[in-house]
Amino acid sequence: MAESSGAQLQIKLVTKQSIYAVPDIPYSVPSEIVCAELNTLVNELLKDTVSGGSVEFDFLVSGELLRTPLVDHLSERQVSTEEVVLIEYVERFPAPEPTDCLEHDDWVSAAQSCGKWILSGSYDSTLHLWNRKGEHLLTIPGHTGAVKQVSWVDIGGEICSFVSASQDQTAMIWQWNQTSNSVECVHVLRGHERGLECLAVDPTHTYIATAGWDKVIKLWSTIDGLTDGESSPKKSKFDTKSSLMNFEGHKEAVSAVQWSEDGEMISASWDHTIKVWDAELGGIKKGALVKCTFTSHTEWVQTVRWSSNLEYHFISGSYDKQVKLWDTRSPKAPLFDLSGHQDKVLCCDWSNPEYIISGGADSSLRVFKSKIAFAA
Amino acid sequence: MVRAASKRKALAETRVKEAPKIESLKLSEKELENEEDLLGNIASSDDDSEDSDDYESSEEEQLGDEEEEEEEQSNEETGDSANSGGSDYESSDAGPSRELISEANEELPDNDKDEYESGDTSDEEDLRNTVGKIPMHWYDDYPLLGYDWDGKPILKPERRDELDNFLKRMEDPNFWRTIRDPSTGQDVILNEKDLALIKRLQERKIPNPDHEEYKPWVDWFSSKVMTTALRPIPESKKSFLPSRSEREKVSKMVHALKMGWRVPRAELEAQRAKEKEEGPKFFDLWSADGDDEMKRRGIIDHIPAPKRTLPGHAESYNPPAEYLFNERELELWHKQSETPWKRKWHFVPQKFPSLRAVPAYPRFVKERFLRCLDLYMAPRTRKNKLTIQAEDLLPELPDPKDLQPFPTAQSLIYTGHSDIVRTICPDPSGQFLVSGSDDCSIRVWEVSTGRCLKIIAAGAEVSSVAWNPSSHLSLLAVAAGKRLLICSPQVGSTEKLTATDELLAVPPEVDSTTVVPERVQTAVKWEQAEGKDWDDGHRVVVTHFKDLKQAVWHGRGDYLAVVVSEGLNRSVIVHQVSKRRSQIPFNKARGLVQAVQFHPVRPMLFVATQRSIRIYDLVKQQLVKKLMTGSAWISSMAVHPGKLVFLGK
Repeated sequence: MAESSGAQLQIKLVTKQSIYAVPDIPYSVPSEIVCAELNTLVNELLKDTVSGGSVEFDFLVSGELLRTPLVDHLSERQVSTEEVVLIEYVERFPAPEPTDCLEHDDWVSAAQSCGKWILSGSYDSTLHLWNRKGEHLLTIPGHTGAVKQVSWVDIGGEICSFVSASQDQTAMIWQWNQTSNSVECVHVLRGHERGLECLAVDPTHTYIATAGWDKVIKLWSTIDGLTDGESSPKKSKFDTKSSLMNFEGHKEAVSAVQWSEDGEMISASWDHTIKVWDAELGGIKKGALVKCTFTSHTEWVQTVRWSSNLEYHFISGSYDKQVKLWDTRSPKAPLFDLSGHQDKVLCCDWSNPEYIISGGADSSLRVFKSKIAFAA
Repeated sequence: MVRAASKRKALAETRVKEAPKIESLKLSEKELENEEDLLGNIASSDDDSEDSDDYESSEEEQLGDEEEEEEEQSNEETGDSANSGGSDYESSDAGPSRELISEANEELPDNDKDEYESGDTSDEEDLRNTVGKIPMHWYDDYPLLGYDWDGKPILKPERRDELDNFLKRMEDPNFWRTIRDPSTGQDVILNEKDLALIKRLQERKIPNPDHEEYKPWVDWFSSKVMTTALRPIPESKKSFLPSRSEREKVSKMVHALKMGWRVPRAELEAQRAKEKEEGPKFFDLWSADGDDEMKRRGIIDHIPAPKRTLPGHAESYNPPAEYLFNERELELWHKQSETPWKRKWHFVPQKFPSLRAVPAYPRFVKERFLRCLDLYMAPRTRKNKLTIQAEDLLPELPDPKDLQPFPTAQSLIYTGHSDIVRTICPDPSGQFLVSGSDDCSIRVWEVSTGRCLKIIAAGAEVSSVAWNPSSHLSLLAVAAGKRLLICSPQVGSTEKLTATDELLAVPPEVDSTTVVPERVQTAVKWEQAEGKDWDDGHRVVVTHFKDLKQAVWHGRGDYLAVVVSEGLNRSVIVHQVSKRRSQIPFNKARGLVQAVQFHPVRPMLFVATQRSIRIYDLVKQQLVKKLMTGSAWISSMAVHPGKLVFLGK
């Protein structure tokens, strides 16, 4: 197929997606071959077996996506060109489509989608509830400072609960009755001495970790909150909880906290460290090591989120007005740039595999629909 | 001794007179002589035996015979010798010898002790000679021997002739032990004890028979350390304490050893032995100075002195004719006296008929001196030129890449101000940033997002803002025009904000006793913000007499220093917020004050004028240091908690 202008390379094409399998024989291709040419080659081979249009593929050579001519890619990773090169191909991740833009009154600093609903928090200290169609369901006032992060806690059944962290030094646990579309604050988590920056709900939905400018990570329980919540009288001041445990160790403000698995918590701080905590014992477990750097953003990266169902994919939002979709196998360039924001991107979320949402300083929450190309 | 000798003489005379000798007596005499020799030997160490006077005198009364006297004398002498010779025995031995004598005299009736104890009064009848201790032969020519106690002469007993002696010997079984006391002329019969004593003396034994010669030796002063002291007195405490003087001596010695001033004896001996083994060392006086020697003298790279040229034919006393000057040459030589280095020779070659005719060289001493001077004055060492490149002196500059924790890319733009932003100041925690602008407002920003959180109207162009460094307060100092505003930022920890507001809500009561100096009164006016201003965030307003240039907080957060532009001698004013009080620390204007700064930790105030910085100690109230910067115009300054001062021009 290729006009042999120079050296030839022996390649073998493999895939894990059985429907796109090709005969297991080596092919001889020019060494300068690029992704697009390989794509046509595979499509040519699959012409008989797969019906209906051509499929876009991405090619993995020695664990990384092929973005440069094959020979350059190999020499960069110091792989021998003498032997048969194994090339794995996967169906290309389809480009997300911008579907909606939800306008707010102020900067959108927090957002999380869950099932049919999208929860967002804004700098005007209100929370907003939206459904998938982009209809505004509720505006929830309550905080006195900018809302910094929101997270769903429990979505089973009629009554959903979620938690929000704000700069007013409190986090609040809310309950939302779907049918009556009413919201009430069941708990106020007081204890932080400075504004909050981040919160995280653990995978079992029983613990909330919050952290902020007072350098302390606090752990709270959600369980009794959910049971006691209904009995607490509405008029009285919000039921104030006290923290279960304090994790002190960071020397500067804690900017992010996440749960990795049961009982393990990871926090990032302005003191240039990432710490892994054992939530049960309350100690620092180990440090972290930089394995890979992804460079493409031109400004401060404010937010990153893993895909909830895909192994290699994640999104990042930055002050350069871009949300980028990354594949860990391609550290040099993102898969897609999701542009649309007019100002700094402050938050992003990909909890619902179908939707990538991002909020920014342009007071808008943008929703991108990501087609599920293949099962993870 | 003298006496003994005279006695011997007398004895010899008697012997001569009495020709027939009795064997036994003779024998005893012979032995006695030996004894006397021995006694003489011993007595040579001490001549007088006065201390035994009383014994003697008591004995003399009884002893009649000369021989017996002799015996007694010897006995007495022995006692003395034993006594006096006891000087090399111990004093404990003196006791027995005394005892011995007293024992020896026990039987004698004239003994003092016996006199009183036994009640024997025989001595009263005694013929006691009162002539004293004189040689008795002085009385040889007299019929008497002396005088008794009553002053009556003691007549010499009648002399027995040989026959009488013989008969007596035959009759008297005690004859052999009868001796005559020479001082009284009475016969004395020696008792058993006396005999035994004589016998012991003859055998050269210790006179006391009870003396145990071989009694077991008690080694009191052995080398063994005893568990219990020999003395009953407990050891003094002093003996356990190390002696201070000794310790000083020892430490001196140790120090000397350490410093090498003193060499231990063993080492010294080893050295000497080594020296001996190596043989004597000689200094080669005539060897040429080598490099080592030059180095020792501190001369590096020595240039040897030039050797004098050997004399040529011209210097000869009899030079060949061609070397001698003709008239023209001589004239030339003389003409060149001004420029002697141009001469062919520095002398005029001369011809002499013989070496004897050569006169002494007149310039010899001077030339020698000049040569020596030349050798002495010229260092003759090569000078080392420094071969350091100018570049080598410069410190190695670090790679600019290594100097980065500072940002290299623009991260955020804080948009909002409508005019020049004059001043910014970050919150101590780094969460917020305050900026002051010519649009007569200050804005509080969130650092991480660039969000403007608060806008506070200042009423005039803002020249300086400062965030209070105290961890308990949340306050801003804003220098806007003539006014210094102390504002609440209205962001951050709510507890801190309320605490600060409570603190500032009520102005402290003015103490009427404290008199505010007029200088201060005319310069500064404190006001409490109220109403709308309070809601805006203003808390306290301090109005000054001129425009303000700068406001800085002290590290504790209570004091605040401001720079008044064109304030002359009142250009630096220090305010205390808690007491609403102001001070003007400097009376004299020392140039235009550009900036002030408190030391973050130490009580120091840095005042920068256009060209110099003065550092004042706030505790001692004095100038600590003056730094001359050499820069044309200092406009700002920052103080590192360590010792550094950063300046901006």
